[in-house]
Amino acid sequence: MNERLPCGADMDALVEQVADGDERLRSPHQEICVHCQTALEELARAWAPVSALAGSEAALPERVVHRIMRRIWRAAAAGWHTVAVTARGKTTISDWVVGLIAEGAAREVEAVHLIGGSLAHVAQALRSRRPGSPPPPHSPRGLAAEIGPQQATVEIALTAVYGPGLLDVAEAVRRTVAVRVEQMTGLEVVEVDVTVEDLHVER
Amino acid sequence: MLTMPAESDDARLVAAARSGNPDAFETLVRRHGGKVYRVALRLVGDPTDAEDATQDTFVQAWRHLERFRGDSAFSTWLYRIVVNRCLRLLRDRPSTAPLVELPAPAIADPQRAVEVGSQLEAVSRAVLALPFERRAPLVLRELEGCTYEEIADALEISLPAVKGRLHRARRELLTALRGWT
Repeated sequence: MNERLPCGADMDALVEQVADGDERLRSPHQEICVHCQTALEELARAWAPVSALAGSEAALPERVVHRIMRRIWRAAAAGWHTVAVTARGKTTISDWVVGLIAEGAAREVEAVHLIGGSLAHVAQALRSRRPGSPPPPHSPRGLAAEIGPQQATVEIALTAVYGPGLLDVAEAVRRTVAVRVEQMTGLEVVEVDVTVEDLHVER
Repeated sequence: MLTMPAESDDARLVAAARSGNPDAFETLVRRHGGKVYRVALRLVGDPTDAEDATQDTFVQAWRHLERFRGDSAFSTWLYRIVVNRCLRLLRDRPSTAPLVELPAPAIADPQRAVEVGSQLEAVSRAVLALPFERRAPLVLRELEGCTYEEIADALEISLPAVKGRLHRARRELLTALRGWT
């Protein structure tokens, strides 16, 4: 592994020098050594695409920022729901958690590629019941879970993969979400609204 | 206009976000989202998976903001989360073939643009071919310009481990790149 040039220079050290962008900062030996100079130039040529890749800016798509913020608003505004009261204590679940369960369930459906969600919708629904509270600044799209005393309605926005019938995908999501939420929380899922907001096409 | 050093400004925004202000958090998402997304893209290859990992990174960051102590930069903390998300994503979806998509480089000469484009794709593939434990430090160092200390912090490994892995990754990458030229 420890390759050496005919002049005795350690190839590994030259690799580090080039990768750190220091191939022009040459030692006195390198200034006069043709072996080192050739190796440095060759390594620098080979390394150039890495520097080019570093300079190629891949920006975060705006729709991803929106998806993130929908989920953040949902988390920030999540309400709490007591789902069971027994003599030994009560169990309270955040609708943020129900939303996460719905997300996990939707991901189980093969034709679902991505979940985009937000509780903004619920926040609005909840806040509209509290007089005097301002409406959430973000558009109420995406995923929301609203829990009544023993019932839940879920709204889920997703990206599907190209191919399968979207009505079938929505139905599969509806079924899986209902089963998982009921299994994990005991809540009855009375409604699952599915929004297919994007399509993933494999190249 | 007074410009604040990015880090103290980050700390101010984190404090605001922690007290339940999603708008402050959105500023952080816009400021650091590109970095997180680029790292995810280089680590997982597929743009949709990278978007997924980026989403999850910020949602997790929001939920665990109180765990961010500010002894490292906010971006370093995000790198730590996104690297872990990507690792999990790759473990969960081992069959997903890496799919590399790159923005078109801004080069006027079309012939040269094609050349550079395929070169970038080649180097992306070579990076993706590295084992994860060496790909992560390489991406943070060569593509994001992190210091060795930041990488050690983000990957939760020692400084000598960073240097060792990075050195090996560089050699492997150079071997692959030299094979193509």
